[in-house]
Amino acid sequence: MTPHPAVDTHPLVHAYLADLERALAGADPRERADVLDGVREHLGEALGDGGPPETADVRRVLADLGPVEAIAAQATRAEPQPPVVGAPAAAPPDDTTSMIALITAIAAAAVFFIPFVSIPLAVGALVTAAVHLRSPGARKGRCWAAIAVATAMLLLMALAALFLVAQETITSDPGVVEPATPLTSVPAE
Amino acid sequence: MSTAADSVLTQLRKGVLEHCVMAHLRAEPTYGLDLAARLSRHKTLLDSEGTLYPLLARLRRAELVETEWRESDSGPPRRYYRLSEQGRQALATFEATWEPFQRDVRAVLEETR
Repeated sequence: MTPHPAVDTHPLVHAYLADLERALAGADPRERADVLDGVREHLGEALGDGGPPETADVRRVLADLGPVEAIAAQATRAEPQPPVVGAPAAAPPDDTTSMIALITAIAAAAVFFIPFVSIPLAVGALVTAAVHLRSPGARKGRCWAAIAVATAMLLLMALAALFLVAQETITSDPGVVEPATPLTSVPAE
Repeated sequence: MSTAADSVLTQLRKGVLEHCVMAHLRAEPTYGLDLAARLSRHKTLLDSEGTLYPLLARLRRAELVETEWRESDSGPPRRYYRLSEQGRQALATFEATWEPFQRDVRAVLEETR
């Protein structure tokens, strides 16, 4: 807003305002606008009582305002993100994905003895948690818990499978040999 | 004024001058030029009138001071600065703290003279 256009056109005022604008280049944008408006109004009020201002008056008013560097030094520097004054730090939003991953991992462990349900659940939980771990809002602790539960469950499942296969081999090996003996021996009798 | 004294003043003004601005707005709202004229009556507080404006901008951002436009008898409307309720409280806190603070500083300077 330029309430006193006659003042703005005085070369010294014009140069002063241009210098101030340049000096405020690194300042917070809202503060810069407020400062420029404030100083412009100040000049308008001090010099704008009708007719073009006398150069001597302009010099006096500008001297009272002081060097533009002194004004700019008082302004807050611009920040990459506008600071929220007085507001508490925003609480992290509840992270449902990590919660779902954890619940799925626990559910997989609960139905451990139904492998065709528990294995897909555990794999799903593991993949979800591992992928989600990279997203910015992720609750890392929860993701790691889901990964730990799912991994432990899958390892146990693998151990159980190995154990069963081993059992199968032990019990079936003699079975292969045993029926062979009667088969070969029976006709011999 | 010497450069050394200037730098002491710059340090001392921090956190103090803004409360002097708010104190001037305590009785009634006023506009920039009037505020600058009142403050610069005390040269240790404000030697460059222009530095008032970044200060007002910060007070406004912190919601300690509000602005409004008012008609003027001599020219275009003026931006008036008014102390907010928050500003009033901040000023009261400052005043209650400032009294013992300046008493202590003076006492230390006198005791150690």
